Amino acid sequence: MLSPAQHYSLSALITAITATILAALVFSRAANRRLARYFCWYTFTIAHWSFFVFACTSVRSQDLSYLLCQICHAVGVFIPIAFLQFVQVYTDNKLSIVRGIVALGYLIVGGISVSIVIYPKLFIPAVVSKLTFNFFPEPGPLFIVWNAAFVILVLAGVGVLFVEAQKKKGLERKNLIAFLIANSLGYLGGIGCFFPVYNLAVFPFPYGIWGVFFFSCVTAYAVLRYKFLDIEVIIKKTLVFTGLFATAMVIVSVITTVAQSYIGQTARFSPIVSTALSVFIAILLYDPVRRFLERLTENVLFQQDIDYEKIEEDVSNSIKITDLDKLCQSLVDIFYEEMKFTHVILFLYDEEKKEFRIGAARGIDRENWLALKDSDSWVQELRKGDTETVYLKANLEDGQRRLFKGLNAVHSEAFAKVVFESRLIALLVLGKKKSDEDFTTRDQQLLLKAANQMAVSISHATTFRLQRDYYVLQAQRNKSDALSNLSAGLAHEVSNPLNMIRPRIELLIEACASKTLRPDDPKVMDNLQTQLKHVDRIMKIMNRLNHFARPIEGKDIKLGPVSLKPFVEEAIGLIGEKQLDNDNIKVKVHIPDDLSPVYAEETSLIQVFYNLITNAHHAINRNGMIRIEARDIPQDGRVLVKIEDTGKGIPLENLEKIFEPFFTTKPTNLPQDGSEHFTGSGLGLAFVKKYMEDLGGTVTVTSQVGKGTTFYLKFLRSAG
Amino acid sequence: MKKTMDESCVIKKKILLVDGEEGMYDPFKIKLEEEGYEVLTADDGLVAWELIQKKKPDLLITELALPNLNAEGLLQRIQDEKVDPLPEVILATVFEPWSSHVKRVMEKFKVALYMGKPFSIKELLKNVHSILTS
Repeated sequence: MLSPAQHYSLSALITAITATILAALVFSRAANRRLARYFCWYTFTIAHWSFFVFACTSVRSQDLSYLLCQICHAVGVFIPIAFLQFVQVYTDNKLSIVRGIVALGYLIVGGISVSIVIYPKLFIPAVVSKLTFNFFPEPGPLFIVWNAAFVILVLAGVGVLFVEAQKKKGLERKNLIAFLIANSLGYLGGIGCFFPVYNLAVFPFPYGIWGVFFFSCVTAYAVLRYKFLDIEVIIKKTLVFTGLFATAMVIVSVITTVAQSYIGQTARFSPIVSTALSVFIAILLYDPVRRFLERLTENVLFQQDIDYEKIEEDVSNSIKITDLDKLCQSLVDIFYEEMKFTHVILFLYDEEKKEFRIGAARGIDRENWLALKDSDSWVQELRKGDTETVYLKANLEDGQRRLFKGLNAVHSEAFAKVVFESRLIALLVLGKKKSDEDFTTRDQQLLLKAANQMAVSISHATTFRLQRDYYVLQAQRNKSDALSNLSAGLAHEVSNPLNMIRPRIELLIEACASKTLRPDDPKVMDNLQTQLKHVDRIMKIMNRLNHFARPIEGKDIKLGPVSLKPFVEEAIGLIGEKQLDNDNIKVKVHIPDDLSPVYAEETSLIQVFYNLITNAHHAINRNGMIRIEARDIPQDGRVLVKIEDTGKGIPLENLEKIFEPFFTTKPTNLPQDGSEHFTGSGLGLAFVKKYMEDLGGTVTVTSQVGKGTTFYLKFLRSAG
Repeated sequence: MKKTMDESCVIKKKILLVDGEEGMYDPFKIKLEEEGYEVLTADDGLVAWELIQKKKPDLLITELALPNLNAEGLLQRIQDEKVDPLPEVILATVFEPWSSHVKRVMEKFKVALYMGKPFSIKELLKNVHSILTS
C-alpha cells in the first residue's frame, strides 16, 4: 500500500499538473472572457496549492520544506474566495450580500495571506517529520483562523451554488448540481488535509487529498460537458486526455507500488528483482489501461473530429443498398458511429398504417421504439411545417420547440425531414452529441445534404421493397392459380389411369379365384403391362405436382440479375428429357456463356420456360425439334430468348388470343368457357406475358400452321 | 350356364362404350359380354356417332371430353337426328358432378346416370343391369 506521504505527493502532483493545464488552456483560449478569467484564477489557486503540497512534503531539506509550506498556505487561502467569486460570476448572482461577502472575503484572505508572509510562525511554527511525511506543518495559534476562513468561504460558495441550482431548470440546473457535487467532494477531501496538521490521522486521511484531484477532473469534465466556458473542441480533448492520462499513471503507479511491496514481502526477492518485476507488471498493464481510457474518452466523453466528407460519402454510397432494412441500419450506423450521437433513430413513413415507424435505431432500447401516427397533431404540424429540412432544438425559440413535442420520449436534439417529391418519407432523429457539443453550422449543412441524399436512397429502396412484395404476392398468386388449376386437372388426369388400372386388377383377382387364367397366359402379361403404364402415368403427374407444392416465401423471391441458362436447363429437366426423348423431340439449347444477366424474378422464371417448352412439346406432340436460343441485343440493352418449335403451329385467328387467360387449344373439343381445364390450364401463356411485362420485358409470337411456332422473350438486361 | 342364358335371350342388349382413352373399356367389355350383352366401343366422338346410327345401342356409356366430337355434341346429334330408339345414357367421366360441364349436360339431355371415374366393374355391371332391365 501507499504510505500517506505517497498518497499526498502523488495526488498533489497530478492534481497540480491537471489543474495547471486546465487553467493554462482555458486562459489561452478565452482570456478575454470574464468568466474564463475567474475560472483560470480559481484553477490556478488549486494548481498552486497542489504543487506546493507536493513540493513541501517531498523535499529533503527542512528549511526548504518550510518555505514551500509557507508559500503553499499564503496562496492556498485564496482557493475558497476564488471559488466563491467564480460561483458568483458563473451563476450571475447580483445579490449585494454575496458581493459583499466576496469583497470581505478578499479582505480577510488577503490579510491572512500577508500575515503568513510576515508572521509565518503564528500560523505554522515548524515543519516536522510525522505520519510518514518527511515534513508536515505543525499548527500554530492562528492556523485555526486560516482553517476557519477556508471552511466558511467554501460553505458560502457551496451555499450560493445550492441556492442558484434550485432557481435553475433543466440542463443549467444539472450543470450546477454536478459542479456542486464535485466541489463538495473536493473540499471534503481538501479540508480533510487539515487533520494531519493536528496529528489527527482519521478518515478521510490520507485519501482525502484524492478528492482534490477528483475535483480537478470533474471540473475539467464539467467545463467540457457543460461547456460553460465555450472551450474549443481541441482543448477539450487535450484536457480530458490529460486528466485520463494522469489517472492511468496513477493506476499504474499504484499497481507498481502494491506489487512491489507485495512481492518484496511475500517472495522475499531482493529489492532490485521486485522492482524489476513490478515494472514489468506495470508495463504489461499500462497499455491496456491506457487503451481502455482512450476508448472511454472517445466513446463516452468525447468524439474524434467528425470526418464530414467521409460521412457524406458514406451516405451517398448508401444508395447502392436496395434492401430497405439494411439501408436504414446502415444510415443509422453512419450517424451513430461517425458523428457520435447518443442515439440515432430513423423513422420511415408507412403508407398503409399512416404512421412513422422506426426503421432502424441505435442508442435506444427496442422497447422504447415508438410510432408517430398521422393522427397526432404533432405529425400534422410537422408535415405542413415550412420548407426547412433540418431542425435543431437549440436554435428554436421556446414557442417553436413544440415541433419536438412528439420526440420528447426519445430526447431528441435535432431531426431532419427526409422529403422525396414533396412527400415526407422519413425522419432522421438525433440525440445530442456524446461530447455535448452544440450542433455546428457544418453539422447542419451535413444533415441537410444527407437528408436529400437519403430521400433518394430511401425512396429507391422503398420502391424496390414494394416491387419485391408485389412479386412475392404475384408469385404466390401465380403459384396458387397454377396449383388450383393443377389440382383440378390432377383429379381428371389421375381418374383416367385409375380407371384403367382398377378393373384390370378386378379381372385378375377374379381369374385367380376361379383359376380360369393361367399365369403364363399372354392376357395376364398384357393386363399387367397396361396397369404398369398407367401407374407410371400417375407418377409423372405426381412429380409435376411436387414442383408446385413447394411453398413460396418472401425470401425466395429474388429480383435482380439472373443468368438465364440454368433456368432453361431446369425447366427442361422438369419436363423430363426422357419424356421428350420418348416422343422423339430434340431440344437444342444455344445460350452463350457470356450472355448478359437479365432483370428477372427467379422463382417464376422456371415456370415461364416450363410453360413455353411444354407448349412447344404439346404442339409437336411427337417427332420434332425445339430450339432455344438467347443473345444480347446491344442496341436496346435487352436480351432476346427465342423458343422455336416444329409443331403444328397456331392459326392466325388464335394467335392474338393465346396470351389471354383461360385460352387453351389443348382440350380440343371442350367448350372454352373458362369453367373447365382439361390438360392445359389456359393460364400458361397468360402467366408468361404478365411475368415478362411486369419485368419490363415483352413476349411476342410468330407462327405458321403446319410449320411451327416461335416465341420471343425480351428481357431487360440487368445493370448488376 | 351363362351361355345358355344368353342364348335364351332373344335379342341381346347392345351397349356402346365411348372413351377417348384407348383400352379404357377393355376389362369392362369382357365382363359385360360375359353377362350377355353385346358390347361396342369407340374412342372418338364421330366413330361413336356412326355406331349409334348403325347399331342403335340400348345404352350409351360415355366420357364427356372426346376427340373430334365431345359427348355434348354427340348427345345433341342424337337428339337432333331423333335417333330411335333413344339410347339410355350413362355419363362416365373424370369431371366432378358439380362441374358446370356435367351439370349442363345432365340438364340438357336425358341422362340416366352419372358415374365418376374411377369405378369398379361390379359397380358398372350393377348400374347397367338396373338401367337395362327397368
